[in-house]
Amino acid sequence: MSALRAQPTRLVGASVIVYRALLLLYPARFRRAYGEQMRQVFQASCRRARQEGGPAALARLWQRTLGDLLLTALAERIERLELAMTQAPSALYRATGLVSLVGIVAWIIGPILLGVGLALSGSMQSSVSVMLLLLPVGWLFFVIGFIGLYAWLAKQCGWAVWIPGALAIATLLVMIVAALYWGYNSQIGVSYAGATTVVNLSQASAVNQLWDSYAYQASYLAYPALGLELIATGLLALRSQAPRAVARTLLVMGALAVVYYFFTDMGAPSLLRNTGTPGMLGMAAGALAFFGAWLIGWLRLGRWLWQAGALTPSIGVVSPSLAASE
Amino acid sequence: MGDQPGDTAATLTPAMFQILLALADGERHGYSIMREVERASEGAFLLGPGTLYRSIKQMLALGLIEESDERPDPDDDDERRRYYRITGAGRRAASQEALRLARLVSQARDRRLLEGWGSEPGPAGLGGVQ
Repeated sequence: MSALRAQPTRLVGASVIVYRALLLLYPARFRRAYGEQMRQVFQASCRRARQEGGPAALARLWQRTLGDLLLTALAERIERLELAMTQAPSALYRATGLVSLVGIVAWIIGPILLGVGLALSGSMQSSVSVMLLLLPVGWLFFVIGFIGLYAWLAKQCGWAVWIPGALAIATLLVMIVAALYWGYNSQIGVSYAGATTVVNLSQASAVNQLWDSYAYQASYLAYPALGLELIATGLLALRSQAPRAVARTLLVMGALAVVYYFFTDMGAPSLLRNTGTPGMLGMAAGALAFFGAWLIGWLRLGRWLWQAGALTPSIGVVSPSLAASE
Repeated sequence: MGDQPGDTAATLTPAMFQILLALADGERHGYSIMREVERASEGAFLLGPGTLYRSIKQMLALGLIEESDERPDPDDDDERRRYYRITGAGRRAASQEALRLARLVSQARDRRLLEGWGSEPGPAGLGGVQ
């Protein structure tokens, strides 16, 4: 008789242990606040079920409780996720803004190291390699900056801004891969197209030459593509609540990216292309104008993102300093 | 938020309304709320611990209920239990919701949807509404 009584008691004990383990399905904050009370309620319900209907009633209780637990745990998880998504942008903007500013540093250091390396050693190879590594690192940081920028813009322009956004990010990634491919090839002495000088190209395999050509073309064609994507973004931003200055900066950066393409050795008019000093000077001027403007543009965008992260408590609210910059 | 019962009533889920009803005549702990809801609905409305405490969390945030430090019977009570009581905003929200439901029942009666149920309580939740 006592064994019969002990069995349901053990069932209750085991049920409570299992239920306590299942409480792990809830977010930690909810569990800390209500987990112990829920366990108490479930334990009391188990005792009552055992007294009133034995193991069968306990099984019915479990059936109800499991459904309740799974649905409410899912609802709590979704609520936490939504909360995290509405809170994250603040930290996201700040982090991506900072990363963008670091990208600018990488872009500035690259050419400086190239110049220093040239002055000290007279050898182009190692300095070029460093620059070819730092430039894509800068681009990569701008990709991260774009994620924060478009997340911020999407709150004010709607999700459609992610269309040019996704394309712009994809374009930047193409540029990074192409630049790294060049860097790799320059390391193994196959070619270096970045300085419009082909080194030992004749020694390279046909496949290598082909891929080098793809990388070369892709990286330059990426400039007008990126420019058009930024212009589309700027136009969307102009029609939204986003600060006008942000939209204008994007439009200028986009226009310069398109124009820069015509100053590259690929896009330059045939009169200027690789025809000695005038062609080189033209390309250098175009590069200087483009990269300079992009540095200033990113400096502004990075600062805005940083401020948006630092000063906006919720999404879509333009910080006072941003509004003042209008 | 809690001072606008009309707005808050719109956010009331059936579970929240049942909990407010259970707390309308005094403070209770979680298990007691669960039993009272079950008793009042004649077993038609069974609250699981998850729904109960998720609703409690939301109602605390809305200011419809609050935690109580008082113990109805300290000698016969588990001190780990937490008691909850309805607030003024909660009472107003429950009243608004009850009126809304009463109006719906009235419309149903006008459209003769309740014919055949007699004066006895019919489907769960309709009993008692005149």
